[in-house]
Amino acid sequence: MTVRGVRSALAAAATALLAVALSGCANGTLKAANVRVPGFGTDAHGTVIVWCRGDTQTAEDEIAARFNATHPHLHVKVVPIPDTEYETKLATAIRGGYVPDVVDGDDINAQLFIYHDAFDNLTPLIDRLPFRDKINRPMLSLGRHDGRYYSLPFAADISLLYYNKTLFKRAGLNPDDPPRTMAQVVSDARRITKLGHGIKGYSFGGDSAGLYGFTIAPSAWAQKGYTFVGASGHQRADIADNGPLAGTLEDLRTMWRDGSAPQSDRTQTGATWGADFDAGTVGIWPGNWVTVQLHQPKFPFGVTELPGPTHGSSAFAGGDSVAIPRGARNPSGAWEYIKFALQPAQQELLPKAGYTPVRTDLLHSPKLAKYPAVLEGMRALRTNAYAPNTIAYETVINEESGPFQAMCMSAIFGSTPVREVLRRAQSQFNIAMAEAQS
Amino acid sequence: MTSHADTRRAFRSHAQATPGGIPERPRRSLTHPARTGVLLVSPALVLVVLLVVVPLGFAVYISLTDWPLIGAYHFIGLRNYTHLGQDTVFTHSIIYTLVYTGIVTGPILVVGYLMALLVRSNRRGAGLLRTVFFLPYVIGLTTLSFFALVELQPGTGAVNWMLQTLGITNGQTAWLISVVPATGFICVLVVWGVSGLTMLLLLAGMQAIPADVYESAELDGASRVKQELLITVPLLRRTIALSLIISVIGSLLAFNQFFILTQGGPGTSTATVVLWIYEQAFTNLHLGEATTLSIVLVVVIGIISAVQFLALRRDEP
Repeated sequence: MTVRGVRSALAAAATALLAVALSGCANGTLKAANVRVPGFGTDAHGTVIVWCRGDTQTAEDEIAARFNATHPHLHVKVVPIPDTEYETKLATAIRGGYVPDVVDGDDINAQLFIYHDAFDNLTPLIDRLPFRDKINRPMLSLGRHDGRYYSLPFAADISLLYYNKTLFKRAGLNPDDPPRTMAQVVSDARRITKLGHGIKGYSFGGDSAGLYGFTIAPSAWAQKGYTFVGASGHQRADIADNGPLAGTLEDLRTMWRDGSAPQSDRTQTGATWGADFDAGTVGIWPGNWVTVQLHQPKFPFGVTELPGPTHGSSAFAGGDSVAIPRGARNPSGAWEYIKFALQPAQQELLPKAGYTPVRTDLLHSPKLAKYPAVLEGMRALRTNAYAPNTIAYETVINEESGPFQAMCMSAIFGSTPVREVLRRAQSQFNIAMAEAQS
Repeated sequence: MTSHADTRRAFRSHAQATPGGIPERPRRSLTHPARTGVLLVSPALVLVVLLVVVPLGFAVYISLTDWPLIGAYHFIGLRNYTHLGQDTVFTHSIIYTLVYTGIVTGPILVVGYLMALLVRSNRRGAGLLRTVFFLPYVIGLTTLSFFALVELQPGTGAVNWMLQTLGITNGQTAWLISVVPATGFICVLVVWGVSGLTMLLLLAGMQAIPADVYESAELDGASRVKQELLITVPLLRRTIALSLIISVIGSLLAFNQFFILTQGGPGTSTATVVLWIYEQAFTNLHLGEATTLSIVLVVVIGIISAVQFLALRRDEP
């Protein structure tokens, strides 16, 4: 090749690039499945690829094994994805045009993909489900956009207030009367801390964005102190004037300052979250069933919804939702598997793996009677549980570099008045909201 | 194949002499004409075009769009570039990265130089010391950062335990949740982790200096300090410059240690430029804006490197 030849080749490459550039724009969405076709979701063949979070793999594997044993024509293959990388990997897969058949991911992030037309509209399929009205509303609403449903809940992970009944008794508190307000949490925590010997009244994840969102924000929701206001995609963050949020953070600051919470809470990233409660050295802990089930505490404990600063209660309606992404190779098989996973026999497997069934009609199931904490979570799903329907959750709340964690840490561990911290944080939230919704 | 005309031109060129009488180098090889050269480099050229030029061109195109990681994209011209100033986090990340670079560059060079001084002779133990000094670089910043994450935990980490044992702290210091201690610790970690490379580069340069230069200086009565300042440092100028360029570029591209230890937090106070680019691309899903930031970073690093090279060349004899 001569120098002139090389130049020509470079020119041709540049021209090709220019041609791509001048094509202007691209749709970017994959082909939607025709879910109205007769027989969709029954007697499908082939393989169904299910992407699940690493956290829910135990439950997913067991349900998939049951499915495969009873469906010789259809094989489900579970692919676990690390929790922290799930959304990035899924987004990259969608951009690359090679997606799984079932997306089993964090329900709080479903809206992000729905908003970008990445999931199939499942409304006609969901409406035909005989147990349609038995699926809990808070989680189902996370898959709703413009009046249509694109995902539905599969396994719930509910944040609740756990308390050690033995320590309550020792501190002179009534073990059958859990705190109903944050003010009562503060006062009970003080009394428990006075027991000494390293026992603390309260423990929380002080260096974890996800835990602040999961366990602290619901106390503000209990008094309608919602962080996101408006329709998904066009929301604003309500921080500066959010009284319930300020009240909740004030109570946490009080417990931190008076020594009711362990020093290690300040750097608790979630790696050992709940280990102190499960070891019996903490009286009150805003936590979840996954962690308790994992450590199997040896003492009697009670559980209740997360209380608001002065009244009310709430809980984070977290967990996994399932969806069929556009471009799925086997959408019919995917729906067949999803229907199977939502049947009572499969849902009743969830508590053993640390999760809560999403069907409210299972509240009186004899098989679940031995899990009182799970039943409390199911009751919360019928009443006060909530989760924000937003595309900004990851950027604003869940990211360590997001404004929510910085604000919480400054309010709890800093010296600036809490109201002032929230007032100053508003601008950071505005920037983050603009980033997430642009 | 060489033609007769080519050969004649080559001889003519060879025969031309400068005014001083020294013949100029022939402009073309007598045995390897230009075409052969082009053919020999063409595989590499094709690879560079495919793996560097085309992706870079595509990246430039992405930067001219509002390309999200999922969903439709549109051509928006230079809007990503003109809106760069409005990204306050990016502006902050530039300042933070420059401050971080300013803090670590000097110590990496000084520590690397001192380590090279210690191990440049072949006396007993020098080999062991070289290995010990270079080991952190071999382990890598990613692994070191994970070690640090564990050992910095209040109450349980070795760092806090040691400081408590020495009576300096109460063992509960949370190193990574505030800007100053987090940055300070990461700087210490980086200096320890990468000085080994600087040591290795300088060591190679030092061993290339002939021993008789030092012998002459000693005969002239030059002290060890004078020998270092007046012989070693000037003769190592190019190696020092190379070490600085590598170190500065590495610092401007800092990512792993911040991603593992602080994730840019609290807030975005310890977000470096590359960390923010990652956040924009994979958390905010704004691939178009992230690519714009990447291209700006490439240009800035190119300019800084060019300035360093020019400064180096200007003083060449």
